[in-house]
Amino acid sequence: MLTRKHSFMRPNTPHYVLTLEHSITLGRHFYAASTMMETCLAYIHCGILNGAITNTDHPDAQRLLNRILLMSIREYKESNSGAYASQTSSLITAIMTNHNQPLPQARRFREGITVLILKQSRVF
Amino acid sequence: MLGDLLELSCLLTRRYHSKEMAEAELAEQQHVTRMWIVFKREFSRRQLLLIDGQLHDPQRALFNPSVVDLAAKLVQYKEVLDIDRAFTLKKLRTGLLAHFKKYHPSLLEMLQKRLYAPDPSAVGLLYTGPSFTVVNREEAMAVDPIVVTAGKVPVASN
Repeated sequence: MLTRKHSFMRPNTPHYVLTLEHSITLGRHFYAASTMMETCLAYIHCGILNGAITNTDHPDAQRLLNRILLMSIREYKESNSGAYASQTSSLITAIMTNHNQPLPQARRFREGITVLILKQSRVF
Repeated sequence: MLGDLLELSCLLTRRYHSKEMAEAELAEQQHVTRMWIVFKREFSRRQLLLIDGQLHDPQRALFNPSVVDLAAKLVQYKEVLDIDRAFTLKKLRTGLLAHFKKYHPSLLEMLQKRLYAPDPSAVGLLYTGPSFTVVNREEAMAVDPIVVTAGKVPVASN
């Protein structure tokens, strides 16, 4: 990260930004159908744990997700004679999947937060 | 997942509970919710789901259980971690019940059952129903109209 100017992370990747010098960091959200499930999971974690794991809201990111959904619905409606639109396939698949993620355990979560705090304490 | 999540997204937003959400943003979320609900009805009119060799109505076999499941799991997640920095568990539960009363009155009872008697086997965030294949309702009718109209596939409804 120190030698590169850009860093890309998959959705639902826990992270925090640490710089050795005063720096300006700029973040952006990119959404892909192939990782939409992870995006949804990250959204849930941030929503439920808001304030404990993030220091900012992302209303613009929410708007992008809204547009992805509305665009998929529009594509479906405009598909020929009710045929199953391929664009909708990923949307429907994303609703129902056998991929599952366990609910977080309170003890493990608090241990994780403690580790992050200790790391920050050592640096500062 | 995305549609259900965006439908309930306001209830996961701190600014919604603290009444800081702009009117335009609130209107946009309500629009997304309505569009998603309309889409589910439209999809159920056009398509069927093939599950274990039988045709099922998508609304009843997929959409209804998945949104109830997500709502119940959000409450379960909030209960497990018990962190009230953004909004309380009570606010989330009350908000979800109000949302279902407004948009899914027929599912309210199902949600209440899940909220007050959680499913012990529900240990993940995502809905894990059976695998399915999407089938065009008209094509299914053409192949075997008796199966489609004999009551095995309920009429699409919310």
